[in-house]
Amino acid sequence: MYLNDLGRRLALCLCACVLATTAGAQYTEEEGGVESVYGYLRYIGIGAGATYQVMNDPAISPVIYSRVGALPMLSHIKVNPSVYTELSLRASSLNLTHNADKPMKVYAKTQRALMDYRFLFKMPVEMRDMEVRAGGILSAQFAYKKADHLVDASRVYEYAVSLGLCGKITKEITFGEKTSFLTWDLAIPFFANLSRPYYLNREELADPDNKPGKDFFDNAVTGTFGKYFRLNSRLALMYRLTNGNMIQFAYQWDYTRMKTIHKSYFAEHIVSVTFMFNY
Amino acid sequence: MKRFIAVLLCSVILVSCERLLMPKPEGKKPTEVFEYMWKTLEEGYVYFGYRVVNWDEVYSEFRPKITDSMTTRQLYDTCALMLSRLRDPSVSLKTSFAEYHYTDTSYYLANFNRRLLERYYWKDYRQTGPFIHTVIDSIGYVYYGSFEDKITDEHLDILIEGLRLDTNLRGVIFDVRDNKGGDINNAFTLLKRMGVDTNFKLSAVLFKAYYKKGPERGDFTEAQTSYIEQSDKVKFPKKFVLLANRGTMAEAALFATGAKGFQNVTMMGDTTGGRAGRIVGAEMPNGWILEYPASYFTTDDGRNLEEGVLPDITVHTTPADEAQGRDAILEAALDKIKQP
Repeated sequence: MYLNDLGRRLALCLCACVLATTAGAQYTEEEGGVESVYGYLRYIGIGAGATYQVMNDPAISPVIYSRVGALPMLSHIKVNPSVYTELSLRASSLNLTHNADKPMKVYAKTQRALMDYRFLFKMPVEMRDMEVRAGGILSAQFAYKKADHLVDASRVYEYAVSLGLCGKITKEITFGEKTSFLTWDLAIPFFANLSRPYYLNREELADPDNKPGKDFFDNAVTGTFGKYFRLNSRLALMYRLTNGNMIQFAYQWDYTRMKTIHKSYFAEHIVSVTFMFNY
Repeated sequence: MKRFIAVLLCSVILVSCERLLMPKPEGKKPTEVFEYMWKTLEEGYVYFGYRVVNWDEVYSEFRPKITDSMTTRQLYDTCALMLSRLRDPSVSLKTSFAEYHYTDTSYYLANFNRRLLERYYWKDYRQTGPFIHTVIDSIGYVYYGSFEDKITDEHLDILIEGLRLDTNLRGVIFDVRDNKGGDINNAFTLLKRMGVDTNFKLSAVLFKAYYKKGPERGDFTEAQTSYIEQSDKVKFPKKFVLLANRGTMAEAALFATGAKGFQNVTMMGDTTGGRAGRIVGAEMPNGWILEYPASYFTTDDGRNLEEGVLPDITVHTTPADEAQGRDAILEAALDKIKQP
């Protein structure tokens, strides 16, 4: 059966929904779900979301490009009373555009993949029944942008691997007679290794010995906030199902600024639903 | 204090307006678009020196003509006139309502007539991949019309093995006249089939490339010399004559200068065209697209490829030759190979 992109995303969402509501997790109210031998509650999350991306990349254009699209998300959470770890992955492929010269439609195909690993410890802070955790975030992101209308300067590759601080506030709330959690977390990397294209997106394709990957890594720089600045803010409601699994409704805002030859800016608003399988 | 923190957090979570954190976009007013276009070329264009253009004087001439009250069409016309000062066919301006290209009015003999070739020389021709080929007087003839057309090793194996099977074959004529370029990788695939069969490890210099690496006029990379290593793939046999004309441009001209580096190759016809530089597109704040060369290439001995690649033997096909059904360049190449 032929499925287009949207169809595939909907099918994935539907499968996850069916699994989340039927998968048995031997849930008990006292435990909050199945625990591992080391006392962790573990969840695998499969989700999908709508994303609104905004890009201001002088390597492509002085005009701001934007678009709304969909994206899949995967995550793995391990939590116990003192430690919280989360590995989250997401990827998107959108044809960003603008309407500066309306009849002449131009697109910048933007493919992004991002991995965040958060490692948080419970803080001894009392704040209106809220649990506060703080720790670090290790993050890796890669983007490939292709704006065909720019001829030989059409391709932009970029990556950033970063290390930073992360905090999370969780409040337990009762929602439909079930214990649910309202969380907000904020991550700010402070140290990064990143790479962006050469001046005018040069690729030395006229040299038979040219290795694009080599150029990509040779051009890498390492720095702190001046080179790379990212702000990731996420507000989520985690709603428990009767079988111990959870559904997470989240809104997150992700803002990135990378500075090499130019300062490039990227921001993303994501509204997502993730089904968390307790195992 | 707690209330303040809550308000601050809410503002970060809910407002999160990235546009406040991004620089103000470049303006779309005519004066701002003009300034941006002039600056884009100032920082990226590579042939001011070669074409002897004083870009600051061009600014002084055209800037007073730009006002924010002018119409989009008036702005386009003025910008197009400014670009025409560069006298560069590689520079163009694309908008939703018009496109500017500089027309080079220099007169050259065409030196290529496909219909004449089809009528008098390409009898019973065969086609293998992008190649039209035949044998004329025991000399292999191959025509390759565009470097846009993908060449594979399988195409070349079929073509070259066929030529090598002919024991009476005296050499090969490879015709790239009116080839406007395309994918440089096709040139590399072809160049690996040139030269002579030998066990020695040889390499041929193809060309030197200079890329813009910063906004200042002299910000160029060091000369980056491209080589092609001796390959063990089956090669075109015996003498090799390359035919070129003014319509041989861009990657085809790069191929021609690379091919000339092989000892058994003779280039005949006319000087090639230029346009070998890497063309980049730049978007203006109002969405117009400006295209211009941002790198240039030279031959191994330093000749700018914008001036074309000189043939080893210059030959022209005149209108009188054509009237007699004669391609003088091809005839001269046949004679050259027939010479002992």
